[in-house]
Amino acid sequence: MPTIELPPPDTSTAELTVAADEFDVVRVRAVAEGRAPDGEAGLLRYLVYLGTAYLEACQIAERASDTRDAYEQIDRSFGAVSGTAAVLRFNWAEAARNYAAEQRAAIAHSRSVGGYEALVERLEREIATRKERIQHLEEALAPWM
Amino acid sequence: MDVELLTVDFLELEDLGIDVQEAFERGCAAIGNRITRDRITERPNTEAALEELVDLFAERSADLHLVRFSFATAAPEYDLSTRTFDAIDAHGREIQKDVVPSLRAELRRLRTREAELELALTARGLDARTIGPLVPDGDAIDPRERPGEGVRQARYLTPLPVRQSLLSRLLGRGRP
Repeated sequence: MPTIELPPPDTSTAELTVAADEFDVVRVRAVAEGRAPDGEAGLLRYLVYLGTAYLEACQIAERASDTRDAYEQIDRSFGAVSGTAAVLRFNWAEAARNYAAEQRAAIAHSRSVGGYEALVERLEREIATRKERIQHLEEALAPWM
Repeated sequence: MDVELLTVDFLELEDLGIDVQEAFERGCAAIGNRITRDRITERPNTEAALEELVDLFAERSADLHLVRFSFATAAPEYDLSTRTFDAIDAHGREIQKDVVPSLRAELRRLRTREAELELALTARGLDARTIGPLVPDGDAIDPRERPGEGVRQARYLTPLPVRQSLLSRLLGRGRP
């Protein structure tokens, strides 16, 4: 599966003007259609993206010589968008799976590393104790050396 | 109301000469007034089919941009997770393969020296057990090398004998 280069994660905001009651109607219709994402932030974003695509299609149709030409051009765009969406969705699912696996593995690894860190502490303590005792043993043996 | 988009989305809108508010209003107008089938039912290249195609294209494009937004904004966390995992893994490997084996080796060396001194003192009639500090019973760590610690030795299998053809095996049958 090919990969698609992601754009930078930087975001910006834009203010939208809409009457509350009008937006409520849109929200109800969107829920009825079952296509838009849940939540206001997601719905607003979806509406902007959806509207952009309609306006883009409108621009293509205006430039086209006739209905057939418009159809063919939009069909090509539809194919390109569908292909990109499929690859992106696959890449995203894979990244999310890896993320989940890494999270689980990191927890298990942390435990294992924690166990080894505790062992290192014990080893260092025992080494210090034995070094001190060796010094005392050598001192005790010194008169005969 | 504020809408949050990728900065690149704004640049793309600018390239298309489309205003965000305009796009939003067109999107609102489409909701409830579009065909939401997943395929074209009309004869291709007709006005009716074009309308269906535009609805399909708009829906697919919106979906693509939503996925791109979610993936792009989540990507830094995914990258951070990978780096964190790699760091923990590297630290764990360092302790397991380098630190612990060298400390165990140091402990072996010290125990040998300790035993030599104890013998020497015993030979001179002294009780070495009275000289401390002593490691409490049960607290002493096994200083022997453990499997999985240190550099793992590659294990090699004995190479397989050269494969003989059926004819050479038949000809060779009975020979010493």
